[in-house]
Amino acid sequence: MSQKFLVIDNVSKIYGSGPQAVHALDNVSLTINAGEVFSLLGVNGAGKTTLSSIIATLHPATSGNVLFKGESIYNNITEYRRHLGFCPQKQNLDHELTVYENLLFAGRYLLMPEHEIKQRIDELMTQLELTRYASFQINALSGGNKQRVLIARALMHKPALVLLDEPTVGLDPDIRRKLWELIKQLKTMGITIILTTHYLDEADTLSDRVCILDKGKVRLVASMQALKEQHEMESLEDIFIKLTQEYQKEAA
Amino acid sequence: MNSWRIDARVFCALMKREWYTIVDTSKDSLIDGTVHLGVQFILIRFLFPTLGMPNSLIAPLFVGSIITILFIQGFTTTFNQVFDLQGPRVIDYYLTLPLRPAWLMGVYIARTMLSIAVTTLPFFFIGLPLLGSVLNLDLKIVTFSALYLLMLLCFSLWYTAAGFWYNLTWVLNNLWPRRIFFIFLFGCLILPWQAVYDFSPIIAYLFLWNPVTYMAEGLRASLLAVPAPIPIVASFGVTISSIGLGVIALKAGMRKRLDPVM
Repeated sequence: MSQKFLVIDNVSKIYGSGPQAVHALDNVSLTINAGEVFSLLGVNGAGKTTLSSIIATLHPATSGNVLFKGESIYNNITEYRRHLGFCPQKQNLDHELTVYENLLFAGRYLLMPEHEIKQRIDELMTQLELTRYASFQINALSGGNKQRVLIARALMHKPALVLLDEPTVGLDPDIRRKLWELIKQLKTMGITIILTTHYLDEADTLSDRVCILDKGKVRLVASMQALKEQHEMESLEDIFIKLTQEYQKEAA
Repeated sequence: MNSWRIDARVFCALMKREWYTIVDTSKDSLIDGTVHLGVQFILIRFLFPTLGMPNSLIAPLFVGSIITILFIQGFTTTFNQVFDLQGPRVIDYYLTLPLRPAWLMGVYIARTMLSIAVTTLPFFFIGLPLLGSVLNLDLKIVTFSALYLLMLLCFSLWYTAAGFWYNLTWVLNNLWPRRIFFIFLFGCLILPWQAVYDFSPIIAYLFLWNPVTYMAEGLRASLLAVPAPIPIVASFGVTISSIGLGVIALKAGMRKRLDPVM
């Protein structure tokens, strides 16, 4: 497992200016290793989505840098994006196209050869149990199936890094479990996954390491095992509640 | 592969997708255009002459109605874009594709130009032959094509920029009455500039503040056998300047609304 796959180096993000400026991220530094599932945790407004949107190159950092395999992503952003699969919190599929067409065009946008696109769509459709929905318009799908299409779209070009921002929000428990299995499968394929989630059971089940963000700052980065040993607790949820209470006391 | 080539290839892939929708909706667009033309045909061929309107006013009105289509179709662009920004945000997906935002905006502009152009096709291919005798045509094809393309670009830029500047409620409630209506009404689309001048030179000079006046007069000069009160060079100059301002407005709007990695 090669180290320093993705380095977040002193990244800050400020929205607005003057007295109304919001410091969404404050000198965040992290290292994400190849092949791991790395979860970003935090209460609402902690900066999870801001950080994942910077890694996804949706927004620039106000200061700091993001290094992918040792090189700033901003030096060759188009090349970096070819290694990245982003599954946003909002289901932003193309509603004018069918499920199959969404994946077909995703492959084309990412410059895959036409014969590979079709093969890849078949693979993903089978893997994500979407085959029977191939000709469905997006609006005709359930929330869970839309989410699966979104994940399939992010995986079309076999990215080395996948960003999943709240991938199971609003889904039924059985579909959540199926998506967990999928994320575990992706990990066995050597894909590095950054998971942003509110669900601590999800992070507990899937993560190799977690990062707790609080008011835009990194409060903790640890492996699941080390975290549980250190706090002598079995559940990530208990640890998280304990830590956030500590942070609140500090702030007060 | 260098990034310019990647940009160009992803641009083409996105345009293929847009083309797919444009072809899919072109039947409706052509029907819309033909219905507009049908109404214009009845007015120009029968109603206005019967009411005693001179040919010198009827022909410029037909050209004005072509520009009206640009106003109406352009608004659809803004609406769709604002709806996406406040709804599904497909644009966020596009922003994570391997192409720079300027190229992505190129896709948005080209898409709008194509969809507007499709609606105006019946005016050129059916309307001009059908009404040629009434309109007193003198088509300067190169001048006309160049100016028309620049106008399509200008409208696409401004309407796309508006999509980033305003929110959905504002667009629905205010874009027509507070912005487009004034530009439309004081743009010499209904009456030619010379007729306004003959009525009141002061009002005519006020009309010169509006770039649409130059576009309308330029288009008339390149299509009809009428004297051009505004030099065609001025029409090109103002249209190109408006395009420049449109680029600035689009860039600023995009930064404001999307905050993309430039």
